[in-house]
Amino acid sequence: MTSKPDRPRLSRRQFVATSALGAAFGGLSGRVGSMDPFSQAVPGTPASGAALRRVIIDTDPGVDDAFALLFAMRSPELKIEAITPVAGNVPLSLTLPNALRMVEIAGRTDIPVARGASAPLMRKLVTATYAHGENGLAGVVFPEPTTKPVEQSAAELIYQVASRHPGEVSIIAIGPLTNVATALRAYPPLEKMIAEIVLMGGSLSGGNVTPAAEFNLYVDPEAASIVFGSGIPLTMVGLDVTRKAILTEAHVKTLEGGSNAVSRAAARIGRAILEQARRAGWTSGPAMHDPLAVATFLDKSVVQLENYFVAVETAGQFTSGETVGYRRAPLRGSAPPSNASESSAVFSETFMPNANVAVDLSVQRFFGSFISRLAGTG
Amino acid sequence: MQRFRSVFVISWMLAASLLGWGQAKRKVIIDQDAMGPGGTDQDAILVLIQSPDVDPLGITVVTGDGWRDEEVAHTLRMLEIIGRTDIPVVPGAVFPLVNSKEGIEQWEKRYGKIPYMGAWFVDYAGWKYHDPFIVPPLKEGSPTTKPANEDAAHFMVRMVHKYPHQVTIYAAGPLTDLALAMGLDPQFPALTKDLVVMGGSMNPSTTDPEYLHSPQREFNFWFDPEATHKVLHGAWPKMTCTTVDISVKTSVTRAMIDEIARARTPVAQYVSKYAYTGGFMWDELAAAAWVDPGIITKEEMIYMDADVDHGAGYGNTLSWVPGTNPGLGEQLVHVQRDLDTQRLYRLFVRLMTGPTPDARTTGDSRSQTGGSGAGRRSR
Repeated sequence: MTSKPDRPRLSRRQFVATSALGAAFGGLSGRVGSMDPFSQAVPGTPASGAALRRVIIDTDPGVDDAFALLFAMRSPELKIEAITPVAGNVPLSLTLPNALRMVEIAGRTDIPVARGASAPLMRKLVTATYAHGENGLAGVVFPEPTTKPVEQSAAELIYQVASRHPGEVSIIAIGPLTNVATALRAYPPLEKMIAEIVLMGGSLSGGNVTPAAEFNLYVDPEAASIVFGSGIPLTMVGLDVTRKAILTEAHVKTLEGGSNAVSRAAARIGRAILEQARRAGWTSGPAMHDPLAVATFLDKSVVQLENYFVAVETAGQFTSGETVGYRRAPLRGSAPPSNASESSAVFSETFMPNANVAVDLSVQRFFGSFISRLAGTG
Repeated sequence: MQRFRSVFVISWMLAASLLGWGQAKRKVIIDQDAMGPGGTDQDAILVLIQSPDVDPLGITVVTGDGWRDEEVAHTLRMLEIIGRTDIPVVPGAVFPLVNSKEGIEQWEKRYGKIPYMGAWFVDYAGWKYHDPFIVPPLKEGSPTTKPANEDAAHFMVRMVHKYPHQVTIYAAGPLTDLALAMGLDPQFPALTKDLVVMGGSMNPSTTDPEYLHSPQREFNFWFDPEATHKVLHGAWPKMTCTTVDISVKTSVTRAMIDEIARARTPVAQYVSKYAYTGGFMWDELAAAAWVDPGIITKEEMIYMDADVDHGAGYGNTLSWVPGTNPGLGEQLVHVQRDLDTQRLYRLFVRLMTGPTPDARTTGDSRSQTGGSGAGRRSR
């Protein structure tokens, strides 16, 4: 239950949610700035020796999720406490075995994998097989996993891990936020136990599923509004940066030159997704959305972060899942109807950032770390 | 000796036939926004506990009429008073999925005052607002027993796997816990025996100001519209709904409470002491009609949903007769339309004045040390 003293948190009372305005808003005074785990001790972990950072990866593999999982499992700074697959890019019946496959490929069957939600909180599941292939791995076939998921649900495991190490566990969330939101609602004390969440999702510069919404937010906007309103320090790694992180032929060649099992698996998926992008005539190569979230968690200086108040649209006819980023006060919703008692739609006169949003990145630094770790040269 | 034995056998057979021996007791999980002391929330729990052929597996507590932690304390205390601390009290959701107090404050700026908002009331007769995790002093005394060390949603999922197709979910508060359970395990609804809901309102015939100009806004559905929407789309083997339309045909009468007060049992004293005479028997009716279906004289098959659009009707009850529904996965619900009120009143008085089945003590169990039964079924 410890909340670190350097982390001011808004109370529920300060939390503002305006369903009437068509969006749910949350706020907190997040930490600003970046942290480099390669060079300094991480707050909340023992100062002596290797300061392993405890993390849960919530994921919907998914091509770039598979890359992200392999990348994380080859990052020695991380103590991966759990992997919690959720329905998203493909149904849970594929994301769960795909996560188990990645754990087996990386030789990390010590990491518990827990079954997550098979559908969003209240909407029908929309998948993205058009981008990830029918099997979620661009058609690359790996053996059926022999490892089994643990008995607990994803929400339960998230809570158990967090309550064992309150204030020390972070979440890298790279799928729809259903599992995280479910855990937050099922276990009210959880929001004070999570150190931070780095999520891949959202966009301040237009979506990819609709002109407004990025896929993860589009699939479960209600879950996202719960997470953005939780008061947990958030870093949003959205399309603003991930669409610049494009996998190239050269990257895949490097992976193909690697000698370890992870590199070989990543190379096969990479080769297949490049082929798919070429065949389907994608205007740009495949974006490494989710690995960038892992890289940002490892080293915030890979991206440039700005403080935003991010409201998640849950009421739109065309725009649900849009992340509306406010840069400064006053925070204002849609114009009031003609019969409204107030002429102003301002819902807060003060700026209450609830997320550090990645607005730019160092492509070279990201791919340098990402590819070299997968290839086993970094 | 022989004579005694035959008397024993005969009385055993009599008891067995009364209980419907050979048939197991009817298992129920009571999901309740259990404000107290007394009143509709606690009295409905008592209707189920006091019924000899009912096995209450646990009481899962959700924020609604009050905040969860205060409700948990009221429920624990009630169980201590009646000597049923063996029944687990399982804490559920504190906040609805998406809806929030602050969101509703914004909503009110556009669409006007909400007449009843339970835990979210800032100002209401006899009510003093407090923050979610505060438990104010309880009129009936503080409990010494503790809630179960498990959350409501996982408890419900675990129970229906342990007793597949045998457990009724009785839900008389906002439906947050049920929606969470469905998210954890998509098989959850299908593994229950059935679902009984107190909630929703279509066109109640009443002068109650809460419904006069907003007849389709009912508190339980309104408090967590997204959860209601999810639950009403679930594949339950059977769904029964007690809506406001029938609640308003009932009343906690003075005569009933006076009659209950004459019994000297802990249950009767508790119920009569904290009774809200003149109030509707919201949750008691939903519970009693499950105990004795003969109370209901008319029901109708209706499709139901909650309005999840974030406009003026957010949280309102949507309903359709078959053939007019949109067909987006909404389910047919057995909606109770009319009742034999005298039969309800007689059952209520009989249960509230009768012995408490399986009571561990006959009175206040305050002398017992805490946690005797809490978490009995927990891991």
